[in-house]
Amino acid sequence: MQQLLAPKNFYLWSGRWLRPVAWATGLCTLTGLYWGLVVAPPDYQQGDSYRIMFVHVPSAWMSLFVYAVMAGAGAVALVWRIKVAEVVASASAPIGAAFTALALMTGSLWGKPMWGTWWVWDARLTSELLLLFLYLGYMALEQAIEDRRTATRAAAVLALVGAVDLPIIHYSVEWWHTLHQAPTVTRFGAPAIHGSMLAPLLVMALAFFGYYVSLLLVRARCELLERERTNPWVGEVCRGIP
Amino acid sequence: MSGNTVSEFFSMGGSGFYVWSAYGVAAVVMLGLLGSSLAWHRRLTGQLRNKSRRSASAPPVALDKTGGDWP
Repeated sequence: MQQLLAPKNFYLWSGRWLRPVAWATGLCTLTGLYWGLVVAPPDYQQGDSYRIMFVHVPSAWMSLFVYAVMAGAGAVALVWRIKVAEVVASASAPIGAAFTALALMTGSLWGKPMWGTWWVWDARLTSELLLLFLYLGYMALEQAIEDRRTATRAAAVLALVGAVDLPIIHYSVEWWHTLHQAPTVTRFGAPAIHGSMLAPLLVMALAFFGYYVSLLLVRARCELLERERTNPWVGEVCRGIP
Repeated sequence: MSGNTVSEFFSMGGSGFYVWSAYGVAAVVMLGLLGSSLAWHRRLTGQLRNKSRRSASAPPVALDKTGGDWP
């Protein structure tokens, strides 16, 4: 574990794991899409439009999860100055921003036929929009500071302060009874969703998770190469000398 | 499955526009980010490989394995 924290070891280790993770992700994606779009029955109230759920819910889950990883890695970077934690935080930001944007856009496309509107200033929607701004602010702040390591640490402070939005998003549907529905999967007791729809949802969630891990590895490797470019190991691995 | 024919599948019970737009935008965003990340890695390793080769063949760093008259 400790050895993995050395940039070169992490680079080589992530290179070995990328391919199997990517293959598993592709398999989950194809299975999830077929299951969700073809096999799963239409909803008795929403008809077929509920199938947007299979991309909307995983995006929304991942938007929170990636932020938690980003803020957690940022905290580790602040306290212990571990380079691998720094690149994990940096590499996560654009992926998390993409998931957040997707959750908002697919939610809008689901809201129009179901609620009759693209957007409302509902607590859940507003706090998720704030999450998007937090991601964008994080990336802007990182770009604005010349030295990469200083930039990551400054952005980590922003990420930690912004982490207060995560519980707000999660509990927003319970604290304020507005338009967005309450959770049906993560509530205590049995989920309020039928197994024929829950199973493809979980497969798609796994696919989105795998997508995040794959992309995180690719982007973290890039960040490592950028930051360590003056270090001899970078030239060696790029020339194929392990 | 809601319908038996391909056109019924694509119409998604009348909400085809919303369903396919949602899946479309997800595909575009996710594949776009994947493509740009892979391109970034390819560009970086290419650059650094060239840089490393140049510095390896430069005299003061005697790492040139092809031999030559350098000690």
